Amino acid sequence: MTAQHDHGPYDCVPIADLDRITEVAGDLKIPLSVAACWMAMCKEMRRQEARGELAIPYDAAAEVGIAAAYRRGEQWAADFFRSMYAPALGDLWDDSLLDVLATAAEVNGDGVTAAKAALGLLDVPPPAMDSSALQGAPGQQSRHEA
Amino acid sequence: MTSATPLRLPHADDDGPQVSFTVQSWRRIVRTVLGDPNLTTLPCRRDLLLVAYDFAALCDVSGRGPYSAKERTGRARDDRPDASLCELTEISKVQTGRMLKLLIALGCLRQVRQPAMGRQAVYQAVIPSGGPESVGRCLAMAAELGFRPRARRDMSKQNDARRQRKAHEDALQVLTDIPQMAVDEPVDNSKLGVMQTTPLVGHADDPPKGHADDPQKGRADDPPLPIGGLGNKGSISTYSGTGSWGASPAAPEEDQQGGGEDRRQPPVTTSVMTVDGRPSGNRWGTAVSQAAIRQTGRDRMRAELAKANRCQGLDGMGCRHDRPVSPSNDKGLCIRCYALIAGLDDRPNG
Repeated sequence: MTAQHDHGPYDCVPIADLDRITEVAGDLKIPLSVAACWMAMCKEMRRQEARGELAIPYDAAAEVGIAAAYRRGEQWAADFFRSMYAPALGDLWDDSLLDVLATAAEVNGDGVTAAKAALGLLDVPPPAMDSSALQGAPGQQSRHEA
Repeated sequence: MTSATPLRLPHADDDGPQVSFTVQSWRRIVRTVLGDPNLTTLPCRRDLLLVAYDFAALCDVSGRGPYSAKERTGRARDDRPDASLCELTEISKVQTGRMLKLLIALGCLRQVRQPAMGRQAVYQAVIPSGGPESVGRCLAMAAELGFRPRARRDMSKQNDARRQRKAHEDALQVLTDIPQMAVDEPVDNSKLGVMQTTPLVGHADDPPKGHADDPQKGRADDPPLPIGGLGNKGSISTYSGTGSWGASPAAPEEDQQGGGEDRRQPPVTTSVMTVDGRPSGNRWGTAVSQAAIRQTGRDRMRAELAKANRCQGLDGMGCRHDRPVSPSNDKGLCIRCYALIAGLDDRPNG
């Protein structure tokens, strides 16, 4: 008889899902545990969509949900961003970019572009004209401040 | 807490607009994108930034919210989450509308709801790609809205004078060299459809003051403005001769010629002419520098590269989010399209 267990939603996955999780982990180059968490979230989003509870389209929710989980401090979401984007950014990566990537996910932006923008690597020099308006504009922040 | 918490609706549980991390990041990115060298001739970058900041001050935490000139002027500064973000006095309603259009063209904003009777348009902040496509779209839109490029001010008068002197010396050199080359090394270009000529105006020792390669009393090294209006979507045309961003027929004469006392002189043609007698190249003539050509080539390559990495959507039906392929995604999909196939199996967990 199987003992009653309660160890959260993500550390126990059906055997049948393992193949899918492995496949997703391979496609996205993310750890198995992270893929499992994300897929579990995706499934829950699907259920909410079926019940008409999802405020935004499912595919957007599947991405925004990662950002929401990250904002809540869930480790798997940080690992998701780190696994996907750190290899793409190479030496430029540091964990302060996690916030940027979450933001990009929230506004349907491209994470790599957002990260490069945060790093000042968008291949554009600082504004040379209207410096009073652009450089001294209110709300200007450093990358780490954000 | 699990990740399955329902996503809240915008404004669902907000006590008025807040300036969130999301919005702050967006503002910073917009500011960075507006620093693109190809946008430096836009005369309205400051207004663009101010409208972007103002929208950021009024939208919700996810960067979404109603916005219009009415919204901008109708809310007291004290109502705003951060009054210091707003500089409201000097932008007209018309200008605000234009700035919104430009921000959309630049890919910084998306209109998610059309304005209607008694209802404002709703916009969503978007992280722009910052690529040449969006810059080209923005410039084309600016031209459509009637903005005229202004001379760059990113150099001191001394630099400007130095460049003018150098351009003048180069012109002297070219005009001196070409007749000698024609004597020393006659070239038969008849099969190519072009003919080598000597300059039509002036004498080798008496160059005209107005230099055709210097159309706005500016610099011969100025790269052509990338105008997207003439090409396909995503292409950057370097030919601005008929583009609306170039000097229009109604434009003052000094915009089309060297200006000043040279207005009555016919423009000096470049040394290579096509068979129909028109100067080859664009309005920068043949003096488009190698640097500008390289830059244009780089822009084109970057655009092609960006196009190649766009998500094709499921079954090649196209990505409705118009997203790039997520990094390390072997399926060639963006994360949102990939999510469509990731969450299909609906068996219970645990």
